Amino acid sequence: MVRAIALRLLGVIPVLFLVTLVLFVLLRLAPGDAADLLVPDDAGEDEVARIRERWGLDRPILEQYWRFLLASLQLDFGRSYRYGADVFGLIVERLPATIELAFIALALAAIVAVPLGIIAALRKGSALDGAISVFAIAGVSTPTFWLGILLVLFLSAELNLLPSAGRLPYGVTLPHVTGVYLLDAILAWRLDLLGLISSYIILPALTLAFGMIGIIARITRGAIIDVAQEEFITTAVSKGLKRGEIIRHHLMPNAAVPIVTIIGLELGVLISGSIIVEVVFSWPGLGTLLYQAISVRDIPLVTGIVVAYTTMFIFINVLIDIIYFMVDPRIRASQAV
Amino acid sequence: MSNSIPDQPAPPGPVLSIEGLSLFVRADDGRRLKIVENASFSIAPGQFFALVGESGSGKTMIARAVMRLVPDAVLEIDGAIRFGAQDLAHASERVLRPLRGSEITMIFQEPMSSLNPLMTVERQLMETVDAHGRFKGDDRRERILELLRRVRFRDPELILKAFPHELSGGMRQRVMIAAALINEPKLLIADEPTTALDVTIQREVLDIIAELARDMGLAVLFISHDLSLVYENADKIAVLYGGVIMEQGPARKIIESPAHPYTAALLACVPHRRLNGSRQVGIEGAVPSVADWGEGCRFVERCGQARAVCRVGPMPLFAKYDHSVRCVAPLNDLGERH
Repeated sequence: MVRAIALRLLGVIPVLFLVTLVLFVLLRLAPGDAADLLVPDDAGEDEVARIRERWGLDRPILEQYWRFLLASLQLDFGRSYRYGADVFGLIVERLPATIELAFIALALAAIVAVPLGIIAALRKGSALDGAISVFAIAGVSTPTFWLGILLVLFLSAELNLLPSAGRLPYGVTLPHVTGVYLLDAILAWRLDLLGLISSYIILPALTLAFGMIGIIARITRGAIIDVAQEEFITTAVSKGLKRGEIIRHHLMPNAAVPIVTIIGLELGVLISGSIIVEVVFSWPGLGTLLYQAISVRDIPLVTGIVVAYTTMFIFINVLIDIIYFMVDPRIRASQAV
Repeated sequence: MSNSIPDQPAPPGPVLSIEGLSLFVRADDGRRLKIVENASFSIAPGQFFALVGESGSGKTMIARAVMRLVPDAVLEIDGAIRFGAQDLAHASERVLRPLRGSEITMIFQEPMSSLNPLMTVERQLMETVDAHGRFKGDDRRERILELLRRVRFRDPELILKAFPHELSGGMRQRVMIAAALINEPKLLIADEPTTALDVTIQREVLDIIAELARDMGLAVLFISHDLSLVYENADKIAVLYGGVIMEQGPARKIIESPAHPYTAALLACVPHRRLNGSRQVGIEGAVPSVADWGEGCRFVERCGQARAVCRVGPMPLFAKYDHSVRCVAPLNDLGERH
């Protein structure tokens, strides 16, 4: 099993290599380069050329890529054109906010969706099942930017119930340890801040969770209905096991693989897909940073953030694989090299 | 009322007694289809009862109805299924659950899918024991190992740690048998337990079931489509066709002097009963589907002796002692018409 996981991790390298190559080439294929944006409007051609040279933009693209690759091995993604700061430093600073939001959103979605899926499966065909299906479709088909703006207008602006932007009110400070505020508040034993921090997370998290609840609930429902028709469930009934025991020990573990898969995939989508929601709620995470970087064509920063997203996405998939190993002995056996 | 009546050796009543059992399935379009009609039979303690029929004859539904494994919304039960004094046909889950896996147990056709793939053999056997609390503490493990030895595993300790995918079909079926017998049931229902196995292993699995049933004084309801498989082990045989029990009686009588043309036709299909050089015969045609059931005998379209009266009304039941047949013109005289 250790070896199988090591192999999975090794497989990350070629994927990252390919992603960076494609990304690098695509960004430079776009018309115009950073130099056009960096110089003031009234600058002359010679000044643009000077800037190009300074940033190495006049070199052949493959050479640029090679230099990027060597540097990125040392976690050096260059300096942001816009902020002048180290790209890796900027990412590390913004990442915790994105991770915090993603995990809270996923936890919200899973806590609601998995039980909903279970109930829908056990009461297949009931009115409740139908209602859950409708809710699921509504969730999937509601655009997040629309829902986000709606929630801000209604709950924040109209009813003044929850804050609509940022992570904490101006003036409230928190010792910065992990950057995940809920964790930092606990570490600093400022439990009084937990409520305040949550009030800022809840709206963007809800917006993100809404779309996922439907998908996770539908997959859970389908997985459980499939497993419920398996003969070993009949065996479990014929053994005289209680209904609860059958659900806990036979139904759920066997339905776990598809459920874990969809939750993992959703986490990947979340981390990279929270860009719109972060922008709507001015959440100071990686997504907002990427949005700003793209709008000023800050190529080193865009590249760095996309590499960060890719890396996280791949590691989440490795994590899902590890969970498979733990859940299913058949997968364990097939991977025993 | 007093419970202190002195113990009297009551004559041993049947373990299972099925009386006037009709089964109906609810189709998706809301129609109510009768799949078993007015079946009656009983199984005495220690008796090996074979219920034989082609696919679609309703035999598996009878087996599952006894244990009430099919949801009420799907299967409607009419008539009585008596287990001892208890009528299972209309018993509640609270009554049924303690009986399942303890007093009445079942093994299924597909050993590949009847064990939970994520649990070790030990856990699956242990939960069966724990569900009924007949064995406690260290006795449980001893009991599990003993059963695994009795289903002829040479190294039961090794089997305990195995997951189902590490075992062959025959081994899995033996684990199922061990699980079914671990709580010392009174009745074992075996629904085609050898059909999915290799021919070489079929015999061994059947022998294990027959041997353990004999040793434990267990009544067995053995479902099969194959008369040749069961007639050596069975005490009684019932032949099911199109949801109707055509003939039933002691195995020897059924084999030696079948009274129903269908039973006779089935016996003619058994390979080693063929006369030298005669061609292997089958029965022309197929079992009519439930929707095509008309009046009269269900076998009429395929019967060599069919007459006009066979297509009219319910078939008469002839019986002599414990041998009965449902036919207008039985092949041999069974005396009284009932």
